[in-house]
Amino acid sequence: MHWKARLVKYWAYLSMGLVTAIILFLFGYVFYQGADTISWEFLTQAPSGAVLGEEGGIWPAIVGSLFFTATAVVLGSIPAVATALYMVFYCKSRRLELLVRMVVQCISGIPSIVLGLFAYSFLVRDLGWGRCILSSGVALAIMILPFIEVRAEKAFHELPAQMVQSSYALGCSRWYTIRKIVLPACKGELVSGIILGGCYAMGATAPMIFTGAVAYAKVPTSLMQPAMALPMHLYLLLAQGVTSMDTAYATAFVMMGLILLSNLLATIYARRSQKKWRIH
Amino acid sequence: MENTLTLHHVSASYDGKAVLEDISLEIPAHGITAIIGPSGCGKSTLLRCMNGMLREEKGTGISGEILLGGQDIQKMEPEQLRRRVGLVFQTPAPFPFSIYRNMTYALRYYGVRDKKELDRQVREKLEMAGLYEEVSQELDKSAHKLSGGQQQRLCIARALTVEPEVLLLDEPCSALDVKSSSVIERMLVQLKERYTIVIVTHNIAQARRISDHVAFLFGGRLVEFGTTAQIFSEPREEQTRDFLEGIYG
Ligand SMILES: Nc1ncnc2c1ncn2[C@@H]1O[C@H](COP(=O)(O)OP(=O)(O)OP(=O)(O)O)[C@@H](O)[C@H]1O
Ligand SMILES: [Mg+2]
Repeated sequence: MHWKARLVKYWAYLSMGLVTAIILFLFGYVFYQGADTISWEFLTQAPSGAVLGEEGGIWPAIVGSLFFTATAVVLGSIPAVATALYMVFYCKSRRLELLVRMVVQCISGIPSIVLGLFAYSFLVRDLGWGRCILSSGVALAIMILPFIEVRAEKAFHELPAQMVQSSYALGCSRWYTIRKIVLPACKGELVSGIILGGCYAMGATAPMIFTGAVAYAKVPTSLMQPAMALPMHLYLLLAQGVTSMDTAYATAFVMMGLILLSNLLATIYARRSQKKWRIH
Repeated sequence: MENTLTLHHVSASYDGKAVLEDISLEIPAHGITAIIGPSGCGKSTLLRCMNGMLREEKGTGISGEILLGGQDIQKMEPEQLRRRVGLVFQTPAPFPFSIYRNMTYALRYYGVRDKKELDRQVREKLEMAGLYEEVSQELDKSAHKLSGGQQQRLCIARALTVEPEVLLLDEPCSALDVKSSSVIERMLVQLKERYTIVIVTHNIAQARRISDHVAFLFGGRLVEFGTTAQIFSEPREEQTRDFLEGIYG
């Protein structure tokens, strides 16, 4: 092999190894630090202690995070997938397509704290929703919308064009084609994109600080209540200093565990449905 | 003249680049019209004009008039038009379902639910495409597991399920061996009793064998149109003669 090609190969191997090592170390470190504090009580009890979170558990934060995430996923993925469908199957004007793409890119460029600010001043204050899961959910939904849209659009584009056109050529409407061919064929990728978007929302703190996440709350029962959230809780524990370091690591452990698990499920699901679709 | 296709001064472009220029043509009913010409001359584009598919793509421009049985296709609902003018693509694109569901896909869309009727249609159309005997025992098999030639015949059969008046075929034999090709050729000759057929082909001998009329396209223009006998025995244009003698390949 040419020495340049060989160099590039070694460089690629080296960087791959390095990145893998860093990631493994990061996960290992957090898991190691947090493992001691993790217990059944920690997972199922509310936080307590003289300084909040020093003792007790994080149950309300786990449930709260799931609420925030679910709200964001529902509110974000529907318009995201609809936009992607429009872009690929309905839009006939190149200019409009460019415009929509630019808007989506702009949204993905908005710093998440600015989304928090917007949700705070518009939803919490002006519309009078107050600090609640829904207000944060909207901010998070806007944040993950471009993320999901880009993935959905990519999945739609990768379908064999002639398969879709064959359906049109039989006189079937776009909607029938989308329902019977496009969505089933892309289901795996769509679901996995949406789950990954959910992970992204679950880890974000900035959009919910002023809009719905609070230092302490009971397990939420409606979307119009404020709630605790894992990243927010982690942030507060860190801000409190040395005394709550252990619970901070344990919280991070749970959060990363949840995100890792969702990622894994998303990947497995995408694989399986893709396989199924191919064989059938 | 129920299901003739008539083109008046049809031009088409992709992103402002002209691909078809001023094509006027009358495709006779109940016959096979072959479109021949070198690669890239606009044959596929012409077919996609005829079933209104080109109009729906991004960045395309079309002018001129296309009449189906005297009716302007611009004024027809796109779905209605495509039900009457079927198109089979250059590469077979079966849906990733079973053979049976490929065949019933469009029928279900048009509201046929009765199992007996569906079975009957599936069988009849597969027989027309000369595929029934080969697959009758395994209609539940994935269409993707068929051979290339079988897939192409499945796609033709699928196009027939909606009972089109005109059937457009874009190089249906380009990926097939001699035997599969001749099966398809025989099928087309039988089908012309019922349908008006337009076939794009690179195979000059094939055009000669099965077609009644030939249109020769070159660089986006219609150079010559005539009966097969006339085109092959005494082409009027020099370009046609050169092409048939294999100069452009
Ligand atoms: N989607 C498209 N966008 C832009 N240009 C296109 C597109 N499809 C075709 N063209 C151009 O239009 C011209 C005609 O293409 P067309 O596919 O109709 O040729 P063809 O005669 O069918 O060729 P072949 O025999 O190779 O299939 C070509 O120059 C091609 O580059
Ligand atoms: Mg072509």
